[in-house]
Amino acid sequence: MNEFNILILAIAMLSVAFAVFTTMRSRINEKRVLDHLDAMLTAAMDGTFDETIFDESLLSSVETKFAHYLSASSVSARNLAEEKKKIKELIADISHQTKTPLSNILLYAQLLGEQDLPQESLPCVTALNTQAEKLSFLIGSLVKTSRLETGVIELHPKQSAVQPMLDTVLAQVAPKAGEKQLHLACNNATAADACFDTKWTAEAIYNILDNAVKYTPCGGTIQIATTVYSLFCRIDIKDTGIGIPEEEQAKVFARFYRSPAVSESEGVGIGLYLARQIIADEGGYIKVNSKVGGGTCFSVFLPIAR
Amino acid sequence: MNILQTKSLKKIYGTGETAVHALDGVDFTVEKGEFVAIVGMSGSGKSTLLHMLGGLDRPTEGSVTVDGKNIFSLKDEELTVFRRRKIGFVFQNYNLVPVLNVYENVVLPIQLDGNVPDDTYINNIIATLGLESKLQSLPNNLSGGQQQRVAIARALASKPAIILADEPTGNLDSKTSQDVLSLLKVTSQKFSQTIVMITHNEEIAQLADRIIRIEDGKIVGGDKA
Amino acid sequence: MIKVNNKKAISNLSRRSFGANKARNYIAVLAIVLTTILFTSLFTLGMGTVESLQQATMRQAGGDGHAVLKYMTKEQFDAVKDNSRIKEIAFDMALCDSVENPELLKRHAEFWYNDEVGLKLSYIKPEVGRAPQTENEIMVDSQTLQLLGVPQQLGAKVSLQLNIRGEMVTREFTLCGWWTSDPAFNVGQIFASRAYVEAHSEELQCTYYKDLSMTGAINAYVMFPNSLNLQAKLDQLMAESEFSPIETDPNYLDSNINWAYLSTNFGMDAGTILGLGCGLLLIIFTGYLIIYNIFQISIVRDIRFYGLLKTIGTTAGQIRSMIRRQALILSAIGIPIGLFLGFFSGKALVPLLMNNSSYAGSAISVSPHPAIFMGSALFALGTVLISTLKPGKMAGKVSPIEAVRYTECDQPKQKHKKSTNGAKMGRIALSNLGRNKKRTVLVVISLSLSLILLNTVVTLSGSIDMDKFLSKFTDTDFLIAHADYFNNDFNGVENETSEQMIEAIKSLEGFEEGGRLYGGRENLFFAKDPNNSQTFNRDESGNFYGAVFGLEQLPMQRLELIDGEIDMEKLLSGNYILEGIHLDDNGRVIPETAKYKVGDTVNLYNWRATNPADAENRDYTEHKYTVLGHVAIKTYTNSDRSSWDYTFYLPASVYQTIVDTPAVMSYVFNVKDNNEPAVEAFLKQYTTEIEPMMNYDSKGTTMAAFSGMRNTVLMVGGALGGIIGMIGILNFINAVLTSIVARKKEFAMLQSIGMTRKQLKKMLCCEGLYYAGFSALCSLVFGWLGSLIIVQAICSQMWFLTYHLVLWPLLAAVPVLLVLGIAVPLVVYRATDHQSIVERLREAE
Repeated sequence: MNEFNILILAIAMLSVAFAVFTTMRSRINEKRVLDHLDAMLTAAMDGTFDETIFDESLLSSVETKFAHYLSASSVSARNLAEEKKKIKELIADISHQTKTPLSNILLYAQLLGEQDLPQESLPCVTALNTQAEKLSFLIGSLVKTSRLETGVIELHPKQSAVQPMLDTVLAQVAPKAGEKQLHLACNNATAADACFDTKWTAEAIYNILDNAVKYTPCGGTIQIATTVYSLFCRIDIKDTGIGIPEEEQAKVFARFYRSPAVSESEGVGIGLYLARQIIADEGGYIKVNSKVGGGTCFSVFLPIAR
Repeated sequence: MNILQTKSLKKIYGTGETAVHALDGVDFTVEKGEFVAIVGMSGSGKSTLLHMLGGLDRPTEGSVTVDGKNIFSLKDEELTVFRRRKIGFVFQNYNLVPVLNVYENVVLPIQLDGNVPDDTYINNIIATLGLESKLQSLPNNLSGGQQQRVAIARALASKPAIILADEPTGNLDSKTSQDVLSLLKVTSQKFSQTIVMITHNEEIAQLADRIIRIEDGKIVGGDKA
Repeated sequence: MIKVNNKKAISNLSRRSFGANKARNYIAVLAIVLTTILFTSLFTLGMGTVESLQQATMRQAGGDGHAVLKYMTKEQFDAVKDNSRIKEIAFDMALCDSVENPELLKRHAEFWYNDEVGLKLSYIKPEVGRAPQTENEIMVDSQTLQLLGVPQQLGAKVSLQLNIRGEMVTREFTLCGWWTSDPAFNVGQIFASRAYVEAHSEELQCTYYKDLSMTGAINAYVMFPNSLNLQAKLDQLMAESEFSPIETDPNYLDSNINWAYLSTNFGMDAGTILGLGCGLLLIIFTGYLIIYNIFQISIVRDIRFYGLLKTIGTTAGQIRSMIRRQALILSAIGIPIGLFLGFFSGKALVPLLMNNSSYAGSAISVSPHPAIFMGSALFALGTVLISTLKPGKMAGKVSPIEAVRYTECDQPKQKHKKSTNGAKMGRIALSNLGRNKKRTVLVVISLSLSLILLNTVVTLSGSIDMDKFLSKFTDTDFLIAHADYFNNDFNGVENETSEQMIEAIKSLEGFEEGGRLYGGRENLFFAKDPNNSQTFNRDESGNFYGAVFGLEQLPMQRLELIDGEIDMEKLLSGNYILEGIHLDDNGRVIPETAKYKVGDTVNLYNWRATNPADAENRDYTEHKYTVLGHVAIKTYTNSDRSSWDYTFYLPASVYQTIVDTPAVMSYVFNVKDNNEPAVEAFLKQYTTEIEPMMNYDSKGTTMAAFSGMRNTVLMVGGALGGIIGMIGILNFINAVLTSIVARKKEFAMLQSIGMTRKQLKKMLCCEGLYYAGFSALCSLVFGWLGSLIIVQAICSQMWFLTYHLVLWPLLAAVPVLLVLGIAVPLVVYRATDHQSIVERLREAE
């Protein structure tokens, strides 16, 4: 009886131990599998996934399938990127190839204008000149944009003073403004430094100013104001122009977007797009605040430090 | 691609005569990468709406779909996990964990999920938000603007599908507000984040790509795209 | 399911938020320490009591061996000693049948040789000197030495008169060591050396199984590897050594297992277990009350924090585990401290308990048994975890919206414009308490609990009934008898009460009255009872053994009549007799112990000498009586302290006529009250110096035992009540502290709109007073009810308790409570009130 009890006890203990052992082992196994899957995914996200197990296990087959899936999706992603690149290259090629003929057209148009032509031909020559210039501007912008987008142009933001850059732009735009008798005011000269690429930022601000000049009726005012925050330098370019309806405010930055209200006036709808691209690449952003008929204020935020 | 979609979202407090319709059938969608501002007066239901969007509170009717998932089909505990993986919050009162330092606060949602923080990414965020020198500070030792920047960093850290910001500058002076908003905007640009921001301030709302106006629990004006 | 590993984040969070809660931590650690102290004391008390009882029992049983093989010869011992089942075996040899020195009459002594193992198992170790080595060296226990009149001096001469197989031998020995006698062991012990055994090997040949002579008999105490299934092991050992346990077999050997081991939970009777269980529950409950309260309050205070964690995606489970972790950290600090302190307090309390048990005077042994610590730690940890369960759940359930909008005391509900005078302050205070009803209830309960406990303890100790206690042990002021009588070993003339002493007492100043009781086993009676079919305790004629006592006037008067009558005239006629009935512990009659009805005829028989000159020749003589009535047998006053199936009482004069050798069993007497101390002193001196074999019992000694018991109840209960009271006060402080801290902003706001600091303090004091008032009310009501229901029930269970309703401790505690109610909020407020209003207004954001 006594031995029998001990035997029963021993069997019970053994089965408990066995059960505990089995549970533990299956848990450890499960954890190992999940850990492995986790590692696989992490590697896949980093793009460094490689198959590591090649055996009869289900895990190995999962790995293989996963690798297939990854390569398939990476192929399609690569295709997509390649296509995009081709389009950009095409644009770049077109704009580059059209550059020389365009300059020639411009040159000959000017030459033509210098010659004595019948009175009735003069408007044609002028129109020819304007259109050629417009085309040239469009092509130029396209080239810049495509270069910016394809990364051919690299921005080199540096710590530099804001005011000199503004002055350059103001000087650039002054003749055009003068033509329209616009009052161009730079309120308070700022001593602030910011982190930006001088050449391209000037381009961006020029584009905004150019727009302001374009859509502000004669005799209007364009004000440039600078505010310095602890992390950003804000440049407001405020005009007394026609204003942008609220629903269009987000769209004006889109490529080739032209507001129906200004479809009459010249422009290709690429300037603001380019400006936003440049500023965003520098770690800043552009905000627009406008009311129809109440003028528009573009605020360019440039990071003060990198 | 729609990252957030609400369908006839309703929230009614109380019943019968005294019932208050905080939200009365709100439908809108937010696309991936968009920066949307929800503007309304206080009491217009915008905070209730944000709570619904973040799964903090359950609606009386309607659904909220985040990243393809109807969040109210989840149980409370699942919803919590969903929140820490898919939704980042930036609150008016920062809501940082007072006992953790800046770095720990930022990586908390990641650690709560049992993951190891991706240090390159975290450092990038921290640099963008200018918090490098404050990593070891406790929130109480930071200014309001700095605290809010930590909150933004925390919201970004777990790479959520969407960031919900509730009056992120409500407790800040106007100058600091501008900085914080700029950072929110810049980081959302840089890290391609979708942001839904609630504010009563039109000026602040201008920052957004799109403005949704809400009055008496209903969307007015703005486009519903 | 395999979970993601987020332990690190949780542990970091809980560690940090732990550090942010310093005040709570101190109080919580203190609470855990107190709880652990309670558990450890209780376990130490329990274990210590059991352990001491077990050891005392073992000593009485004669040693710590698992089993004993008795009265063996040397050859038999050698046959057993190498058996592989045995772990240790002791060689204990009796060196004589008895030690006959007259000084040792009152307390016998035995003369043994024990080998080293034997000494160890009998717990004998010379405190002074060493174990005997040469033939004439002995070691003796201190009390025997004293009785023998031998100085405690190494080398002192000791003369022993030994009875060796009926032969008286006197031998001289030299004292080589002694030890303090174990009070539990009522026999003196003298040990000689191996050399003695060898020198007298001829006389030390065991012949026990032939002539029952102890001389030379070897008792082998055996230790097995463990104490499981001892009987089976002993049986196997016996079988393997070819001994028979059957008395009639030629190879019969007496043996038994140690009865101290018979039951492993020895001493843990139902009462003890119930008491221990109640104690555990009470401690768990009090511990729960405070720890729960502390955590509940701290969570309510941090509710925004938990809401915030929820918004950023901390799950309820994670929050629960955070709180559990904090509880564990607190326990890791508090429990070891509590274990340490609790062990010593428990150790201090054990002797108190033991002194009032039937094992009074036994050596107390409390060893730091790991089970005590493990048990207490486990229970303490359990209590902490149970207490944090609900707060954890609550924290986990916090809605994330709380983070956005919730602040606990956001909107004070009171109307400020009313706060213009003190009377209204009271109303504000009351509504403040109402704001957190749960907390208020908890504080009130924990304060009341300690008061109720205190009251119960005092009630219990007050209910110990002196009269009941005394009436059980004494009928008269004094009782004297031979020492053997008190050892339940009264026989007859050989150890009757000394007439010389009785005469001495009669001549004492203040002596009032006295009377002898006659009886004794020598004058055995046999009762004829055709209704009893019992097979044992019958003589050859089939009559039952019985005792008849002869009582003189005083003890006769003291008999407690149950039915029938005590008519002295009838009794003295010699035709009537009184039958004794046994009483149970509570003094209630056990009716079935009455074998005859009043009016029945009883036939009693005894052996009487045929003629007085010839004591050897005896006749079986019959006596006929009619039962006149039934009286109570009182073990300690009117019996020979043995329990007989048949007990009868006769007047002394009648008794003397029916027995050949009437023996005075005891003598009881009363003295004038103011002479009691003098008489007591006389008896003490007389029984130690003039007739040392006499002994006495008195109301005085009984009363000493009585007050000792009362003190124990007061002491143990008071200590328990004290600790629980401390927990209650701690809880109160904690509640006040947190309510003040949590309402810092509100106070600042109140002050900013014109409430003076004085008014604020008044309000806080009012709150404190309400707490105190509610607690007082609650404890009065429940203390009263509890006293009526529980204490009364206990009292009716214990024979020496008579229930009295006692409420004065509660009433006395009321002013203390009120003082606390005022002082605690004031002190706490002063401690927190350093900053300016503006600072506080700002900080609370």
